[in-house]
Amino acid sequence: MAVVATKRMINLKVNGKEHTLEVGANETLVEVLRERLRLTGTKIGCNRGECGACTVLIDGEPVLSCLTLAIECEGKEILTIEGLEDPETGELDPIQEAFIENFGIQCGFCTPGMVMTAKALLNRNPDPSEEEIKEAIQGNLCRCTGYTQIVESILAASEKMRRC
Amino acid sequence: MTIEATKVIGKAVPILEARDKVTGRAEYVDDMKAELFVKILGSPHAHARIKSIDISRVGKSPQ
Repeated sequence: MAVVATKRMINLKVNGKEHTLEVGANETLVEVLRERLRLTGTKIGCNRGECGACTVLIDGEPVLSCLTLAIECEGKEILTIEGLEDPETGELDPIQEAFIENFGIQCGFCTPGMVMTAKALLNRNPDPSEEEIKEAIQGNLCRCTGYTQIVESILAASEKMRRC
Repeated sequence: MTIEATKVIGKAVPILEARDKVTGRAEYVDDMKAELFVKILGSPHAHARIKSIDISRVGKSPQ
């Protein structure tokens, strides 16, 4: 009878820090981030790829960490909301500042996912139109329906980032 | 009093917990490490004084 490996040691690079962990073959990235690494800034909203609250960046691309297996992430660079702040100075990413200044936050549950999606957008398109922003965040649901301020926040962030 | 003279009315007041929310530091129920269960126990006696509560059985339930 074939022996099926149900657990495997993997190296995960999260926010620039290396972690060696034994993960189950069916463990999702968001479970490992939240439960093993206690990085609870990444949220589980629906746990089935509908709400975008679990969005993190893998090698710069936005992915739904609830639909990504942790073992797929071996050797990849993962960036979560906790990694946006400067660890030494506590300085926020311009996107985070813009969300605060433009009231892009209500209950805050969608915020980490929104910010990470915005991060990926502005990395590849530093000067997006309002339409392009809406297209980028179409996979991130905000149940407070604060979309207007979220779009304004991302527009403000893009201006901020182009200025400096 | 005019609106300009008020501290909050008519002003965009910064959201106090915005920084915590935008950094992922804000703690939601699902982010808490421990899960606790609560049961409300009503007194079988109306208008009585509580002298002591025996929690020995509750203390034995799984943490």
